[in-house]
Amino acid sequence: MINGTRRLGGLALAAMMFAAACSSAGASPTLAPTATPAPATPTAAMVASAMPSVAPSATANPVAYTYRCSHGDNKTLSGAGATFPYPLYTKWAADYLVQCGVQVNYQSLGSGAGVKAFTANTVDFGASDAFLLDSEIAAVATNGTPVEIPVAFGADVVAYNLKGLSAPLKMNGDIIAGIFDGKITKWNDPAIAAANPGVTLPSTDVSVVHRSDGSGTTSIFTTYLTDVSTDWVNTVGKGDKTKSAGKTVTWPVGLGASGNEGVTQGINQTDGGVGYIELQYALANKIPFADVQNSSGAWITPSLASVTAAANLATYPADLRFNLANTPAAAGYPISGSTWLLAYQDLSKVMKSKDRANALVDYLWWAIHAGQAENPTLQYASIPATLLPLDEAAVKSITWGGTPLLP
Amino acid sequence: MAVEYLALLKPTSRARRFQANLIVFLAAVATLLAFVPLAAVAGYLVSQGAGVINLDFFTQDPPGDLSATGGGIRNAIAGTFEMAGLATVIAAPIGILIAIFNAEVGGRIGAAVRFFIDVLAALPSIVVGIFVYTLVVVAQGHFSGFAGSLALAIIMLPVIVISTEEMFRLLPRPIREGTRALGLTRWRTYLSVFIPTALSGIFTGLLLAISRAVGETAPLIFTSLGNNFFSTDMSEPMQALPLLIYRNALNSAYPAARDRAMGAALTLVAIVLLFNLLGRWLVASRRPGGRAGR
Amino acid sequence: MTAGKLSPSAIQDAPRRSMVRRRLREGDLLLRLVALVVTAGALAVIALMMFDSVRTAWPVFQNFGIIGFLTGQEWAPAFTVYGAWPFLYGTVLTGAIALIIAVPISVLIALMVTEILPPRIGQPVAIVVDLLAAVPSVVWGLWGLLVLVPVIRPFERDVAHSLGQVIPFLGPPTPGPSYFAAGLIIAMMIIPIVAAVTREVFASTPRLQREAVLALGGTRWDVVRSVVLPIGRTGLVAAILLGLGRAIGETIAVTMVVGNNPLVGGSIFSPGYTLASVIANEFNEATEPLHPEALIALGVVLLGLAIVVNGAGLIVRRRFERSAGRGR
Repeated sequence: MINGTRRLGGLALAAMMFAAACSSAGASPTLAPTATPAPATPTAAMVASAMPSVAPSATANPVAYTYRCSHGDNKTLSGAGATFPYPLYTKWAADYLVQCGVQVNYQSLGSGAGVKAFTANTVDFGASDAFLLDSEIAAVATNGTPVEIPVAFGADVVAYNLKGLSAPLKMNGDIIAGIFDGKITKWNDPAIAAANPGVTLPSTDVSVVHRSDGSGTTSIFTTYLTDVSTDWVNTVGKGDKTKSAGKTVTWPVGLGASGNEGVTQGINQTDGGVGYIELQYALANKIPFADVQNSSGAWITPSLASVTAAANLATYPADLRFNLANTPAAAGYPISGSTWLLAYQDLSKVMKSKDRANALVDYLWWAIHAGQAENPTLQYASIPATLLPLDEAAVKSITWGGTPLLP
Repeated sequence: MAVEYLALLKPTSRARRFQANLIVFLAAVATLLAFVPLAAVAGYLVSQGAGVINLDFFTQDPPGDLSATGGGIRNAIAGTFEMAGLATVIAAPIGILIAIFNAEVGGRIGAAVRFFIDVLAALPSIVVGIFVYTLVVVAQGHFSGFAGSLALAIIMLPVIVISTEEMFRLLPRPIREGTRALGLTRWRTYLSVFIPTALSGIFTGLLLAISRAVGETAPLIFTSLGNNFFSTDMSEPMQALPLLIYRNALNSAYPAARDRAMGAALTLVAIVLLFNLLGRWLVASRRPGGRAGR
Repeated sequence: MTAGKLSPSAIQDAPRRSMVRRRLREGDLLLRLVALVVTAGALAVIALMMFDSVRTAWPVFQNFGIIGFLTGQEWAPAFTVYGAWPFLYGTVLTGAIALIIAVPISVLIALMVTEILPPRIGQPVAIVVDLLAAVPSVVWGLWGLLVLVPVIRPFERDVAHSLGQVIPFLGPPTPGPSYFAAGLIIAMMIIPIVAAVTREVFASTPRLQREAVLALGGTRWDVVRSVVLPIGRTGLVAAILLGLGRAIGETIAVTMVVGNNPLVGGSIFSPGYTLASVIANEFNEATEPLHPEALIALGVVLLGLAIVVNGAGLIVRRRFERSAGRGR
């Protein structure tokens, strides 16, 4: 009863929010409107997923944040990394240009390239779907301490190209591991048949497509496989869990393609093709993807809702390095992942101008607040309410020679 | 040889006529086979990219929303010309001076330099990209249009040197020796006689070098990175047509972005063809005073 | 012809102009100096870059041994195992496929243009073939992946399931992107070069010998068989080597259609990898220990291959030019 009332209230509030957003024409370049605070963000997000056709503008921000634009003469920022959130970051860049007049140039080269560019300090911020490993943190020690800020959450789906199926296939961890380590070679394999009773599977060969570039999407996917399949760890990692999961692994079979786009292309082109791509790419290309069994035994369809459920952890570690793979959440999608923006804590060591440092923190602050409104339309979950204070603390911890840049 | 000639004394038999005709037939097939990919690529680009082309396409930048139609590739076209332009400014004087050096200093040193330039011409462009990345991008701490221009300049350099050298070599003897007889000094000779005479040939070499540089992707990946915005700042990352195509043409998730990339591909091929044909036309219409007679 | 501002009277005044002449000669020296400095400088910078690459890659060669690195079959950055063999294999195989396809076609085209067609038609045809070289690498890759690969896949499948059952080298798997697809695309890219050089070679066949054969009653094919081809043999070898040199260095087009699999594929239809494409794919993100150095080492190998093949091509070409000159 109480649940129903709360849900109704949430619905009404969200409806008012969206109505307000739709009526306001375009983003205003200054302060956000002081609307009434929304209920816990996960509820709003779940409701939002039920109304996918509504497009919130950049001003649909429920809390009264002020966005500083103290970039001075510096009107550009450059970042590089993950292809996973590329659609989101380009949308943010367009919105932020209107907001602050700063051009945020983001190039999607893959998480591996993002980490390398961040390490070599050839960009202002990096982006990666995998948090920095201890070795990577050690490697940047000369530049300073990295600050990792999770800003969005998405799903790696197992997409396939098979004709004649009327419903999504069901796959569990063993099946997925078997496909990608080459043990399952035909689609009508007994393991797949067992999980999909009543479905006539074609006898087509399984054609694996994986990433040829260092990829956070790969990292999310292989972390999941390492968690659920000892067979995977033995075949790909030679027993070593640190080798069977990561941005690059030694694939026993399959075609390598560049970026989420390349893998999508590869799956599309081959009958019997299968690969792992971000949810948005599968939806946009209308490629079928599998329902995956999570640790509670439920068959979960990848969606904004199931990712949000997985992203909602009880507690988050202070350094913000966490894994969503094989989530314990009952309704959570097991191959979910987070994506981080990477910056250095003391920008005076890595940037030449304080204006540029200010520009960066302003952008990061905007991204974790106003930017989040763009997440749902692009099928990314927003930062949960419990995580937001930690993200804010992370951005506020960025300094110029010891003095925090944000007041 | 003699035996073969004797064999030819036999009257042309049907078999030999057939052989001759067969060769003609095969050669015709081969030539047509070579046309097919060219026509196929051109046709494909036109079918995929022509739809996006309008005035806005050349005057606007890509929209931030990947799924939004409209917008254009202004930043990529501008970036391509900016970097090719700077690369020409760097490579042309150096290239011409090296060609002069080679012409003046013959013998072993000249041959060694020539060999080095030939090696440079054979260098895979990706290796050039790595060179410039290590020496410039990492040292400066950021990707930049300047690094991209430098990489393109290194790629253009051998083309310019080789074609300029060729031009000097083909200058008619009367001109070369006549200047010496008149007592002109070398530098005066070059400035007033050689270079103006060979100018159209040098220009052709420049055009061919530019058309090569404009189409290169690999060296730019590690140097200019790419930019979603229009930029004239050489110290910031810069967009270029090949980069835009490489990053977006396979993006089937966002047909609008993909279409823009196809339009960009069509534009790029048109630009390269233009420079190529321009260069050839210049060769064909060289001044009578400068014609060296091939 | 612009001969500067020297007039006959100026020359007559030469003895009085010794001071001026000395200053002009200094200008000469300046030119020589500038040319020398610029040349030496430019070449030094480039030599420095090459040397720096070798120095960076040296730990890899030390670690695995030069031969060990070149023959190492496993490329696993996660395990810090680096072997160049799959890429060397891929580079050579795709180059060979490209040559097998491109050389006969280029020779026939050259024959067409020089021997068969009248010059007025032959010239435009030659230009159109040369225009194949104007298509940028990224466009070839794009077209290759989106158009060519789907078109040839049925053909690949047929061959794999017929001949391929007998000859594993021509057998399955046939996912599409493969050594064969890459070889095909490279062939299209090198046809203009090989055809152009071969055209020059054939065009410089001595007229005397060509007409002698015709006078004896030979057909066009006799001319080709007994004069053009034998005399142009060396030049043809040069053309082939130059084409191969270009094939080795092709990066972007290849990386889009080769399949990007760092294993030695069993058949020409398997996905594979080449030296240039693995560098393009992995360099941007190489952060594991020795990974960037290993990629630069591959670059050094690529550089070495390019120098050897192109150098050989140039030497053969110079020798041909010398002998052809004599024949006239």
